[in-house]
Amino acid sequence: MEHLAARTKRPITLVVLLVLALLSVWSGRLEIALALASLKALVVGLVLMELDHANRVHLAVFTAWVVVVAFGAWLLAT
Amino acid sequence: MIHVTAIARRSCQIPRMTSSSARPLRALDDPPGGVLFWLIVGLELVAFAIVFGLVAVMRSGDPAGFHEVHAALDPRLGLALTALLFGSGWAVAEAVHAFREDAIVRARRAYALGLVLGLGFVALKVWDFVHKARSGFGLGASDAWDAYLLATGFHFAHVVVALVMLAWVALRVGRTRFEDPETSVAGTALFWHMCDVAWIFLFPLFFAA
Repeated sequence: MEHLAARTKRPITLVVLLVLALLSVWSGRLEIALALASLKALVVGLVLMELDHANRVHLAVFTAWVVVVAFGAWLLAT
Repeated sequence: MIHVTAIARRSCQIPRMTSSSARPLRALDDPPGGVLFWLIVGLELVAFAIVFGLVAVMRSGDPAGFHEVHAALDPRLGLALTALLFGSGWAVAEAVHAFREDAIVRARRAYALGLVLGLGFVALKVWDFVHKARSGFGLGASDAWDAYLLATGFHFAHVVVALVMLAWVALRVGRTRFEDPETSVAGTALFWHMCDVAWIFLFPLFFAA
């Protein structure tokens, strides 16, 4: 069961990323697009960059980078 | 329960690596992909953060110019580039896991798919650069167009470097004994996923809004 979950996790991640990209364009608003970008970046970090199995410090640093970039871009652009 | 997947070793060709959803958390000095690649990726992410900040500042200073860029950019192009990059990232992740499970044929196929999709991204982006230049939106057309071309060009350069590294690894999977497979295989994949993450933030700044 765990093996099956590990196998399906990555294809599901791809679908989620593509759906979120579509939603970004559909929303047409920078703040929503940046929020969705943060979500996408975290999904990539957790699943594809394997931070879900990394030390929590690495995950915390990556999450902090995502939040700072998204919030900073929104703050500077508006 | 801590479970480490049993991996069939092929004549000591591949040093021990683990792959399982239930594997234990790694130590602080043992990030997935290796310390070296995480240092490189960390520095690159800082560089990209500066690029995003500069683009955001330019956007607030010239909203009309950026609106013009956004209107001229086809969202279908942005989505196609995104799909190629995400698809390639997924294929490379599959290749890394197949390699860890000693499924060399599957790993090679996944690498091939990842490289084809990555090359598709490069080809489409080259077409985009050429098309923009021919349409009068080359470097120097306006600050907003400069921001688009330089930011996506910076990302493009990283994609090309990552593709070269992936091709180098893909050609050696199953043929050469990697001295440090975690760095060679997972590390290069990590660099590729960093390109995904950078694109994820470029996308809303130019294509989505």
